Amino acid sequence: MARVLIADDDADIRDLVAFKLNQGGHQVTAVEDGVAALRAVREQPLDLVLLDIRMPGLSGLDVCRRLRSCDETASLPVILITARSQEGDVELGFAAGADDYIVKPFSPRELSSRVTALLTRVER
Amino acid sequence: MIPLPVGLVTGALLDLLAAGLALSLLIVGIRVVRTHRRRRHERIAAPVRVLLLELLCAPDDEQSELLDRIARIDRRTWVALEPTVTSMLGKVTGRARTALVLLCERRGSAAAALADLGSRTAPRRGRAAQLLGQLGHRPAVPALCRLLGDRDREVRLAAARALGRIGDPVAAPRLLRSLHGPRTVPPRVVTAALTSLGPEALPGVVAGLRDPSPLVRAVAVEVLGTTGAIARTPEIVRALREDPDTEVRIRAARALGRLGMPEGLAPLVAALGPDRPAALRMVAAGALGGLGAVAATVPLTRLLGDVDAHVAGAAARALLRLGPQGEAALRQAADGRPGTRAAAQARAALAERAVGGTRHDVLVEVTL
Amino acid sequence: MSVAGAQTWDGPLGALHDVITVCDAAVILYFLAVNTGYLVLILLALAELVRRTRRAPFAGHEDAAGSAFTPPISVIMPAYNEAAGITEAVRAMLLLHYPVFEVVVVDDGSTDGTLDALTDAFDLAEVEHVVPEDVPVRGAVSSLHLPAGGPVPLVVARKANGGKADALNVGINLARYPLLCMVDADSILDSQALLAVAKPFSDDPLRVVASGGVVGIANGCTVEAGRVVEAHVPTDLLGRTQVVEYLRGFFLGRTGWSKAGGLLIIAGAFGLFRRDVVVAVGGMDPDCVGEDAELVVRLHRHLRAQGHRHGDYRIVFVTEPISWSEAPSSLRVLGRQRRRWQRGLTEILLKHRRMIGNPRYGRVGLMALPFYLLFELMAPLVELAGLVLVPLGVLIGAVDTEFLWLFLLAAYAYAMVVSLVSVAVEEYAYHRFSRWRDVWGAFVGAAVENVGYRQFTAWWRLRGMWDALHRAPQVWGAMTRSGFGPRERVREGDRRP
Repeated sequence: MARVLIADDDADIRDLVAFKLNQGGHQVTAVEDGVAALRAVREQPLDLVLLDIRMPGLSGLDVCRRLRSCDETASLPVILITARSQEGDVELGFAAGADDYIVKPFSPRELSSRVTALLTRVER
Repeated sequence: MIPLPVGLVTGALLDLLAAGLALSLLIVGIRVVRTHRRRRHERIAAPVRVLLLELLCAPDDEQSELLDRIARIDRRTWVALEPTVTSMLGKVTGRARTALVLLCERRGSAAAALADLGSRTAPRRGRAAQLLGQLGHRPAVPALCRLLGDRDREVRLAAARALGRIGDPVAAPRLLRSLHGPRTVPPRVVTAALTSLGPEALPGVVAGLRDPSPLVRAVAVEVLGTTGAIARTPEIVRALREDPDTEVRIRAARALGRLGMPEGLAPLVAALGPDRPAALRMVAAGALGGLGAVAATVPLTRLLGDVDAHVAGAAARALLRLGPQGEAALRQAADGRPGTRAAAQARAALAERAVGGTRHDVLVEVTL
Repeated sequence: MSVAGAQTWDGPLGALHDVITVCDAAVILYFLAVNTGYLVLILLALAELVRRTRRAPFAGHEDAAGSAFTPPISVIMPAYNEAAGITEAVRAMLLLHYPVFEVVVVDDGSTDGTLDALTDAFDLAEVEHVVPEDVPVRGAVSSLHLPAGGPVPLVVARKANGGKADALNVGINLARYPLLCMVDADSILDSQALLAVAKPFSDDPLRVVASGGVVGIANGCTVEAGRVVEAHVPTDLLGRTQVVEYLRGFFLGRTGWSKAGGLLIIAGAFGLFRRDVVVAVGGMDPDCVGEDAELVVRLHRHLRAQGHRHGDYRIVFVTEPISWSEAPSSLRVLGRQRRRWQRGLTEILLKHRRMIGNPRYGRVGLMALPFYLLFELMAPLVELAGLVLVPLGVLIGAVDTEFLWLFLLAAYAYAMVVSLVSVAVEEYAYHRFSRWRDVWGAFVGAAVENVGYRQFTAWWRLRGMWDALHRAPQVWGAMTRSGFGPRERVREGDRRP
């Protein structure tokens, strides 16, 4: 079991991700934007963060950069969620320090296996 | 003596007051009804929404049972849930999506939408086309093709997008034909739809290269370039050399850059000539960068001093993509006589490269 | 009943009496005509909005967001002494939903470290540059800066101060993409803004040359990290009045004009143009105060002169509420803003006077320009003339007092009904205001607008006309912060919504 944060402004995606990961036995916190995501990271211990890139306010990239620049969260696993059209985002995402990315639209299964894979990688 | 229309004004005042009151009530009414309806929908949909999420995340063996349960919900609940189902269609892939499509078919959404394609009200036809596209419903293709000639512009657009989503190559000639005539679909939408039809649609697209309408030829060339139809390079080369329409030639040049085949080199270099339209020269220079052919170094270097700053800039950035030899040529130009246009362009491009800037993808569109 | 006391006047006084009677009647009729004009525009707008609302479910925004064929956009953002907000603004801009776009910031010789703020935030590095000279500029680019940290689509140019229009011209030259989005540094855009404003270009690429977006009032709205999260009507009277005024005049009025094919103004705060056409007409006019509106009129002129008949090109208005600007919250700033707007309008109508009433320019010449001349340019004159003449009429007995009151009431009721129609139409189409309090605020605004507000702005507009006629030196209010407190950081009317 892991503690996972999902930040996405799209309620459908948020609910879906939360549901799928809950099903996998994870404890999920869902927030709507980047500012709330940073707040959540500060307030509670987390094992993994899923960030939508295009969110109002602070983008997933901004959040990711800030996580990386802070000692406590520098090694927190981050998966970015990006839209298919915005290929440049992937490049930017890795530059910002993300560990993995997932492209919308995605299959819930793929999402959950990526999360599991990243969590195991980190444990090792 | 002007007689004062007191009665008239009094009457008008009273009417206006009544109108004001009616409007106020109308505003309040609209709000109340909307809020009420939204809350009702939320209330009804909330429990089934969880079921829907469960369906999307279910392992294979549980899927059919969940599907049965959701398919059995009453009409009122379905109406409240349907918006979520359709918006989810675009957000998930794989098994989850298949489950949604099955669900819609079980509920008769596809059949209802097919019937709605013939509706008298345009919004209904449009919504139906959109849904059929999202469902990837192949049987709807003939009807959607007919809708490409719909009298409502937005419906035509929705039909074209739906055909792209469904991806049946049969639609290719119809999509190309929808570019001209009294009721047209804009080239961008047609291009986008055609590119998602897959390789089987290419013969239909190639046929478009011989169409009398330049718009059709331009779109056909563009589609061949973006779908990576390298086998069609000779046809595109011919379009760049011979087409009487500048727009078609520009698109052909860009397509050759994308395809990256060596056959593109000679016609692209020829398109750099000073007598050619500036937009074509600029795109051709950029395409030579995409080709990455070292042989383009000399003609591109020659362009650095061009009077048209856009053409010169495109050439400088194209040189950067030719590898060490292009870069060497650029450095040489940069160290050339200071103050010349060529030196300035070369230095600007090198400086951008040094900071990792992205300004090399110069794009021009003339009209489309 | 007849005009009271008319018999008691003779000779020259009698003539004066008659003149005043006629003038008063004219003022009253004018008032009716203005409101009727707006009512017609609003009804046209309503027809358009019904059409769009019903087609919104299949408008295909998501397809555009995901398509490689969506035309790329260069966002041009002129900035003068914006150090406080520029970083936030650029960051918000870079996060818009749109497949391919770049942000070109033109620092118009700021003295407050605008460039330094950007350099720190985006790790900018100065690069050597060549700026194409597609449109003439006055203040040349002195340095060009790109983000060193990776492929962020941002370009920052520093130039000698030359005013907003000149900064825009530099941006036009630097822009690489076929569509130009001109936007104020302190505009707040919704994340879908570029998709919405670019849709007409994708849907009708052969004809659309420009599109403008609605500008809403940001005062009172909940803004979080550069986005309007919840739209509200401000709680102060001035704000409320302006909300209603914007709804009627800018949102619905322009939607109506767009429908009628005579859209003349695209907000400088948020508009999208085809680059080739803007270059063909020579870019922005740095000598004109209302450079945004002037560009549109010049586009019409150019395209019609090229032999485009009606229907060959389109300048359209996008009705989705997508862009927000802060409106003046003090009378002083409001007055200056209106003075500048009116000056701009006067200059435009003077510069392009040959187009007015000229059938060669189609609906623009025959309908839109005469409307602006009669109902926008002349409005403050008539308004103030009425303020003098009507009491004078009462004084000399040319107007029956009782009738006057009755009539004034009817006229104000009419104006208020027109405003209420606007509120109702907004409520039908977009319902951006979430709370009941907001609707009440709009009601109050509609009621108050006619008493004091219109007269106040009329005075400042009159002064704006005077400025234009006397060619008063241009104060580049557009680019100068006036040093108000944080709540009043609105500059003098640079943005015409």
